Amino acid sequence: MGTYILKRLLAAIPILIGISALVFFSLKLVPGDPLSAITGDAVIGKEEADRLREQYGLNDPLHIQYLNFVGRAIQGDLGRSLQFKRPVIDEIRAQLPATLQLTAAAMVIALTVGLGLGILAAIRPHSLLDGLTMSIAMAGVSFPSFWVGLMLLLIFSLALGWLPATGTEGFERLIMPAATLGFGAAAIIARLTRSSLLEVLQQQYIVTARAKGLSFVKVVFRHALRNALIPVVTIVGLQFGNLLAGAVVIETVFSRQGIGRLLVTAILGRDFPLVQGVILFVASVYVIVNLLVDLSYALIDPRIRYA
Amino acid sequence: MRERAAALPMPRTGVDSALAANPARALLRRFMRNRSAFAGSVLFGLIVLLALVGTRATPYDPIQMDIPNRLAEPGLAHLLGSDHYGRDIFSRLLAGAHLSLLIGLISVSLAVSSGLLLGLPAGYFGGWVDMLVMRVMDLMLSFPSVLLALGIVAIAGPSLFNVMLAVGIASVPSYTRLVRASVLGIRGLPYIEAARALGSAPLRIITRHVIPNILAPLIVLATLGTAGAILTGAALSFLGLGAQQPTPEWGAMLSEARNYMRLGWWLTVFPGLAIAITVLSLNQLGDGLRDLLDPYMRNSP
Repeated sequence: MGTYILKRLLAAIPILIGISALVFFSLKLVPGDPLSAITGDAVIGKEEADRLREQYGLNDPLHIQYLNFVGRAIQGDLGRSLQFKRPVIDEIRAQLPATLQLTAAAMVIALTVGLGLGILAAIRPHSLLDGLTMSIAMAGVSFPSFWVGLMLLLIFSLALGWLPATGTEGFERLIMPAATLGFGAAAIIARLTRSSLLEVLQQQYIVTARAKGLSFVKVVFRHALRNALIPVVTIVGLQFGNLLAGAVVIETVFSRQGIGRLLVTAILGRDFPLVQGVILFVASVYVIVNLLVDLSYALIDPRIRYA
Repeated sequence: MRERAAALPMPRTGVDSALAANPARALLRRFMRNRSAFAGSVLFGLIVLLALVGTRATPYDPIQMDIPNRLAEPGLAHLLGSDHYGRDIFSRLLAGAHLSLLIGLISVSLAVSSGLLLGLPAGYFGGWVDMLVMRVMDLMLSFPSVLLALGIVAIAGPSLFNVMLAVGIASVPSYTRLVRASVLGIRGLPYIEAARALGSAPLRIITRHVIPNILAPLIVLATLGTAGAILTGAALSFLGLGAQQPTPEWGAMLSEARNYMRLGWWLTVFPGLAIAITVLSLNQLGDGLRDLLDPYMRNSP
């Protein structure tokens, strides 16, 4: 187990290096003088420009610039935002809690609803219940999340007046965004849980357990689910990344604070240091979460540890 | 997207008795009997038809403002109501239909062709080509695909065309992986070996023997991928990064309607419904095709 963990940890390093290189060099593709990414719209003289170029290392060869970029990033320095005139890392730190809250709540909803519906559907395949749950799941993967959010707003805020439409603070402002964001992931989890559980239920050890006289419910929860949930765990990691990326849209729908809205503001404002910082940050978090999922996967399934 | 790729059918390798007599007709019959494939294709066909009509004729001008008739409720004059500028929503949806379809078509064509170009040599030749291609794909997959698309739009600048490009590039890894895995599955089979023994050049083997036999899973992924591309494209336009006002693109319409949603429910309901139905039809079709083309699932209930 120890060597497995070490191997996975070491494997994450080249990925992180690759991500940082991709982010750094692709933003060098943006046409225009890189100096304008520092000065913004301010008009400066030639001497001042030369001084800044030297100061920010823009005269260095690209690979040196990249190494400096990585060195600063490791120390938490992601440059300065052009729009907000303050360090990118401070902006991220200010917006992060709201997004984490949203994605965590969405994940809880996705897991509860997704697992619940998936199990229900698999227990009675081809029944009315199965048809209904799978239709809901089909809607979850087909309906645009921003539209689902707008419909919730229309019903629960404008028509019924039960929930506040916009804002970030408080539980009542978290329900609709989290439900909207979780819906899509719940649909994917439900579909996968159903097919995985159906497959496991056909295995011989399930027949054996039933033949021993165990009740169906016991067989499902004690014997079948353990194995059926292994593929679901992988999806949860991938879904976490989708939730983070999905937050970009949901935060805009509900005018919530967060990393997602920060990124959209940065892109629309051509604030490249901020774009670069947020993408690097989110991608790194995604890699780390998937690493953790991989590790837990080995914990659940011994075949992976010893393979 | 990605989790779907895992469940996709492997290339057909066995002999299928149902196909023996008249393959085309047998496939068509199974297609008609598959409720999800049939319903999806009929619905999607209808949407394509409406989109074709929409580029030539709409009941009202989709762009021209008509302030006296603003915010008309759905009714006989305006089937789906009119927006805050008095523009007929039904006309705008019709006029914008081909844009959503184009986002799907162009981005998926880009992704499929890149996927073939990268995945075929990676799978067929293996070695360092495979190493190089797959490491780059792994790197792209370490970003959530929407984030990757957002990054590309950030570099290229907001526009509908750049959204198509971004969505296409962001989905290249899924197609490359599928193509490579499919090729690996058939590379060692006797008929490929026979072609090689007869002295066929690699290019000929790939185009004549490999591609036709990996098409089935690719078609399934492309169908589901088109649905996903339409969703992502609409989302980017909703964020203001794609189609700009007053283009009647569905996502952009919702973005505009969001500011006026208090004034009438029809402003936000119909554009989203249009996206939802289009994506739903493609997902149904894709699910149906997967059941049809996957030999392992064919005889299961």
